[in-house]
Amino acid sequence: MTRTERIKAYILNNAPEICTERARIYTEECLGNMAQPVDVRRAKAFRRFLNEMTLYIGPDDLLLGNTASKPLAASLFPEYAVDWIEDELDTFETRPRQRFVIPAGRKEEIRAICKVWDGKTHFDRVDYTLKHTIGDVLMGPGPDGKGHQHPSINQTMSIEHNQNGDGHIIPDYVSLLETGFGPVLEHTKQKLAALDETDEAYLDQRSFLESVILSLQGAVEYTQRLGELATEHAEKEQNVARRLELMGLARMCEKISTKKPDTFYEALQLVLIVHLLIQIESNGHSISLGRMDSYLYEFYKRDCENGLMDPEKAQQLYECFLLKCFEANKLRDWGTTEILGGNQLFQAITLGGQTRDGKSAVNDLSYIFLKALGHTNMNIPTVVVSVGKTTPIEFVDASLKALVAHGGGMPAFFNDDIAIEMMTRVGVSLEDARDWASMGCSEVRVPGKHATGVTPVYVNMLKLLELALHDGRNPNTGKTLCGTSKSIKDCQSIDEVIGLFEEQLDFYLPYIPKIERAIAESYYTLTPTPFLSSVMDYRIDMAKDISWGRGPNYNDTIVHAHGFPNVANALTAIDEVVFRRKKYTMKEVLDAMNANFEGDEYIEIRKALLDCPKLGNDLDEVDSMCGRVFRLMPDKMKQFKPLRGGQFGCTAQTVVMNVIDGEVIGATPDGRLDGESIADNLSPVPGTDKNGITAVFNSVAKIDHKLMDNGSILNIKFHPSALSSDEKIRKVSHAIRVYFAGGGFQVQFNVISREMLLDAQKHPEQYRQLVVKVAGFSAFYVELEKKWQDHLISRTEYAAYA
Amino acid sequence: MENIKLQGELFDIQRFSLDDGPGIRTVVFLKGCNQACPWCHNPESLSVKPQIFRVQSLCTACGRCAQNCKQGAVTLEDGRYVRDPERCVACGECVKVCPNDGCKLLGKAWTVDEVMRVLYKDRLYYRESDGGVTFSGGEPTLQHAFLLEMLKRCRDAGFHTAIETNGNNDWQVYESLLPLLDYVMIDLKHTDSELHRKVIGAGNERVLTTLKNLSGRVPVEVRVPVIPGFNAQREQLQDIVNTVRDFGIKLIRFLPYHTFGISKYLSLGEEYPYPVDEPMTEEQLTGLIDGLDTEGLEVLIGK
Repeated sequence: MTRTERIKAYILNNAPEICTERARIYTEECLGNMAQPVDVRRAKAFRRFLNEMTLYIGPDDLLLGNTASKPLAASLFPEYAVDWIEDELDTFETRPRQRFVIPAGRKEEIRAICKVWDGKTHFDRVDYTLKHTIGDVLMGPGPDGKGHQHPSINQTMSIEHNQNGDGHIIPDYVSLLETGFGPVLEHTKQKLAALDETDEAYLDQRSFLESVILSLQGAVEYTQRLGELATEHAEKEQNVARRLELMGLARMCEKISTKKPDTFYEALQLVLIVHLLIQIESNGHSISLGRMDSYLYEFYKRDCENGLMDPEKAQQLYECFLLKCFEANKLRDWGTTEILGGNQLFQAITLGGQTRDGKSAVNDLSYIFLKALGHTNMNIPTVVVSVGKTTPIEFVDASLKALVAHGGGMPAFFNDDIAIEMMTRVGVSLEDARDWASMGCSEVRVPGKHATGVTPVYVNMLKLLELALHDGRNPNTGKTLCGTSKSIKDCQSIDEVIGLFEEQLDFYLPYIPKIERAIAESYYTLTPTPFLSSVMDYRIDMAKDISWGRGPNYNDTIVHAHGFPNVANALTAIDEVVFRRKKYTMKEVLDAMNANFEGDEYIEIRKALLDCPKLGNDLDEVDSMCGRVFRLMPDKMKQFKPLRGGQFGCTAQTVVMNVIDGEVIGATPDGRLDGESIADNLSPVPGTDKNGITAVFNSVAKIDHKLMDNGSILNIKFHPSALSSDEKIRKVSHAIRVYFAGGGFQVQFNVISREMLLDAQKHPEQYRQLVVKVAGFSAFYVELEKKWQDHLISRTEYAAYA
Repeated sequence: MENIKLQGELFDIQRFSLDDGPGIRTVVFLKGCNQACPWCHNPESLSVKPQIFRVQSLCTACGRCAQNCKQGAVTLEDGRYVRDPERCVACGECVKVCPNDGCKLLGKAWTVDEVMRVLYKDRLYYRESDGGVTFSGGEPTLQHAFLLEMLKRCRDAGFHTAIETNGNNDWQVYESLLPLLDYVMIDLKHTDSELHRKVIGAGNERVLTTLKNLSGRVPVEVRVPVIPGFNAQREQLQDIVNTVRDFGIKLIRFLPYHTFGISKYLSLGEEYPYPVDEPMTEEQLTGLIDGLDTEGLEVLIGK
């Protein structure tokens, strides 16, 4: 076994478990000294935890640091919410997926912790504010407990981020690697000494800077402890080579606990420590790592010149880094677990892109990192490549090769040029925009300069259309919050239908800033994050916690909007069937929908609706409809300002909410049945794209992606045979470049997995368009005999792990 | 002006093909063939007439097709779908009413303009990847006037052009196409004309003439489907290689026998006519090819 395989085996040998060390210390520090400022209490808890927590070193680890007492263990963060922990305590060990073991005797401790936090958490605060501001429209968890368990407004938008931390940020690693912790600590102390005592903000600023100092001291001590642990291990180690590694780690940690890193290895270790500490301070997800090939390159180059580093060593260290990110885990409530598709922490790493002066930033490390990704093949962290006009095609080829080697859809491809336009459009300077990196799933951020971005709501666009089609009434709840200005049955054109849809948007969207306000206010008041603030480029000088937002740089609050492909298909179908061809009346279509298209006559109506143009086939009528509804969200959100300043940035990505969104929507005019999932992200509705990948690219590229600076995602499934030779890989690289040149923002490929093909056997209707290529011959998978499907299943598995 | 009305019988246009010539290509599949290879993986390409194609896995035997069939060709027998090919005129009424996409009408007349509109959609992909348009089949040269006009229009549009042909047509036909072709993929399945005739239904004389005359005048890729029980003996393959080399052609691609087409025969309501049901593995093929003397040739192995 290689070292990477041994480390993987070592990590996976651990059953995920709940670790109570953090919760215990945070409870004592945060609730025991209530008279002290909240940031100071939290910083003291942070520092004490870093001094007392269990640290460990795996037998093959080349990088150190951990967030909880064992690999894959998850800490508890009771300050954010305890209700769900109490409610689900007996199910964590037995739930369908993402189970967590609770060590013997810990359940009672957890219950006791929950009890003392009850009524004092972020969740309670948000709940209080929402009830006192929009309580009249707030709905509890979904009907009959089905689906996810977050409050909503008449099921048109569900409220997020009321149960966990803020997250969604990329720290300023460039500056930190230039200084290390020591000078930042010194700078903070000087800043504290220089505060103007007569300033009305003096006490506020003082407590913030004190909390930064405490946090940084904690970080220094944590790093020193890691070094001491490495020394202990080295003393006991029999194997000489391993002893040398451990001694090296000990020296390195001692050094970088205060001093700046001088080598690639030291820099990588420091980045890892900061990355993990942020996730100890708060459990917000999407803490991302920025441009790891760019900011480490100078270290690498110098090391190579000095004979300290070579590509193989660098690749090994990257692999260890990726696995360390995988080791960090998070416990979520079942509803969120379902929405987010598991324990994902959305730790994004971006490769490629441009330098601040507009040249390609691709370097040797970019290629080394891609190899490490392919060799590690874990689902976490997320690695993406930024590809634009300056990017050499060889890098696109190498990314596709990594995709094949990885076998699980990574790296995803992002359009560098569109990302830069997205940023400059909202006032980011060109140089900063070129520095962009992907954060979380598809959000575009300037590392170190964009503050945290809350995600207050997930807006269900297709649900809003359903309301418009029912004169404002939600057929599920029976509630009409906003009646339409006229009945849908009286509409004479598709423009009038869209007008009714917009009425619903205009009524519901103003709730977004109200919800954001409640959440952002609570983060600042109850759970500031001084350590995170210290690794952003301006927060210390501003003497204000990052959760306050504002500041001299950039703020962006994320608004998810789901279901554009379905909405576009549905409106196009109505236009075609009701207004243009006058085949059925609006009433007939509605009757058919309300009957879930059951019954002979309604089946025919459904067929007519299904036969209308669908997004993903390069058909202008529906593609332009999608572009039109896509534009509605960013246009309408412009009128609102988030509490934290900056803007509401929209995204069309759905995580896996598309399944849950679909559960609350009845049958729709795109031919979708009651409860069926909606399309994921900006991908065509499964089974409706019938003209190949270039048609999908052309369709999706017609949408003006620049309007949504929190991005969008296009999922494409590939059979491995499409990428089976260098020649074909180059062809796919060309296709990506054309898609990007045409304005597409993002694409990710699933080189088809065994699981998917098995699922296709069970649900052939969902995989009608799944093409399997065999040289000059291609066939639809579902049309193949079972024997051949089985054959492909076995071969695909082989390809995925080769 | 008559060209405006010129139509071709196609059974598919496949965009983003990576296997049918250089770069990213759109492949136009023309219906109708003058050979009948019993292992053909595109049985829907043999007849120039439209055909009904029913996918068993998507069919729920709801009976709508049977109710709407004006010819009485489709019936449900014991809840099973049965179509009488004698009565079926491929009018497509059943396709219109199928709620599950389980029926397709394969074969449609396309005007040159209609095809061009589809080809244009991927022009940027051709340009970026040095790709273009491939006419395949069936045997595309059988619809000569349509093909000629298509190639002219592609040339005008600046698209790289290719055909995939069985080579079994008069030289004059190829000669007329030659100025408009950038790349030719041509099959050579056997050097023994008698066997060729017996199994495929036509001798190989015209194929050999085509090969000989094309050589040196356009980039040629010879394609050899390696079929167990027909041409998969080492000597047979060596004869093919020698013939190709003697004609001065430089590129040969061997394609391993596969049986992915079997399900298509079922969907057309036909029986698979070739008796071999085990596909050839890449290893088997590589083993065969390694034993050949291919000096002077670039040898590719398809999948």
